[in-house]
Amino acid sequence: MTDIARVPKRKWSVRMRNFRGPLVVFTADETTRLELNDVGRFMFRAMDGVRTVVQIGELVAQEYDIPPEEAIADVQEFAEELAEANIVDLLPADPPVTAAQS
Amino acid sequence: MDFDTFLDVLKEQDLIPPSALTIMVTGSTARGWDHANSDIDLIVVSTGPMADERVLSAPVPLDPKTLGVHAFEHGGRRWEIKYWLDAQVSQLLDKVSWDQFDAERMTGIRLTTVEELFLGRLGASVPLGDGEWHCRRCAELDYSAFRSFMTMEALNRSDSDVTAALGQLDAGDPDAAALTVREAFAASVEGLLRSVGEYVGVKWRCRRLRAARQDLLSYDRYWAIETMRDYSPANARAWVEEVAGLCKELSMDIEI
Repeated sequence: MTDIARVPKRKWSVRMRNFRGPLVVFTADETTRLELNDVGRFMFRAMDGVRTVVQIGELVAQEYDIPPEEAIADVQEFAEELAEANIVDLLPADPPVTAAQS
Repeated sequence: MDFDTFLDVLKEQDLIPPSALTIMVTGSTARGWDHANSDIDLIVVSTGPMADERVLSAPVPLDPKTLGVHAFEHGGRRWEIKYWLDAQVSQLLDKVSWDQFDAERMTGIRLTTVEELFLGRLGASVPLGDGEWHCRRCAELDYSAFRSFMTMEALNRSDSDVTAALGQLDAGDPDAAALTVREAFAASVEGLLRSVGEYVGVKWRCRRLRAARQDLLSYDRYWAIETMRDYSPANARAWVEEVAGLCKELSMDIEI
């Protein structure tokens, strides 16, 4: 399982199109093509390379009024799926800044 | 500008074919954006060709394979008339049907510049005299996939330029990356404008953005990026990534 402290980041090479309905996400060579529903779109948009899986899960929980643990697990599963499809990178979270570093 | 006098000029110069269906003012003049150096662009659509030795032929990938074009000076301005046949307009609209879009939706439109100009300017043109033909063809254009094709083409260019810009950045060429991502941004803005029916005229992009009914990109933000207001060699990577990120955000929001 992906560490929930990881930071999903959409790959620059990935293309997105809004066909007035589902958001279509595909790799430049079109070997992978996904149609995202509303929740998937919300999660995907939040994968900006700044927020962790936990933070995205908390946003999802707030937006769709579901328990945070459930939302975090959904984001974790979705992020893994997207990483396997070469759509996102899962970056390590920045280490916390210590007093000595600050 | 009084468009009614335009008809008089064309009649005086015997430039209206007997089978004319419509005569339209188009381009910047039709939008009221013209200046003292602007051409006056007109389109005449007829059922039969304009047979006149003053009229030159320009190639177009339709049947017949040419358009008539005539330019002249009058009143201190350059006037240009393009003569289209109604049958050519029908063929052009067939090229941007929804069936064609469904078959080629990921590639975007492949019209020539003169074809793009015709369809792109049609909605914003002003018919002189009877507007029945103009009204009917504008309705057909609205119903067609032209807007989707044009939007897709611009977003495809933006994506390619973003990929190139990031590659240039990683290769240690931030200057090239900055210019390339600016091209990507220009393509994204074109995609945005096209998605709301503002089609042609790079030189009028500022005005088109102000005129466009959209809330995805403020004019101030557009202008800051277009003029590279916040760019400096010291922050090249951050600036390129910010602009590239905005291009990607827009690609998720712009409706095809």
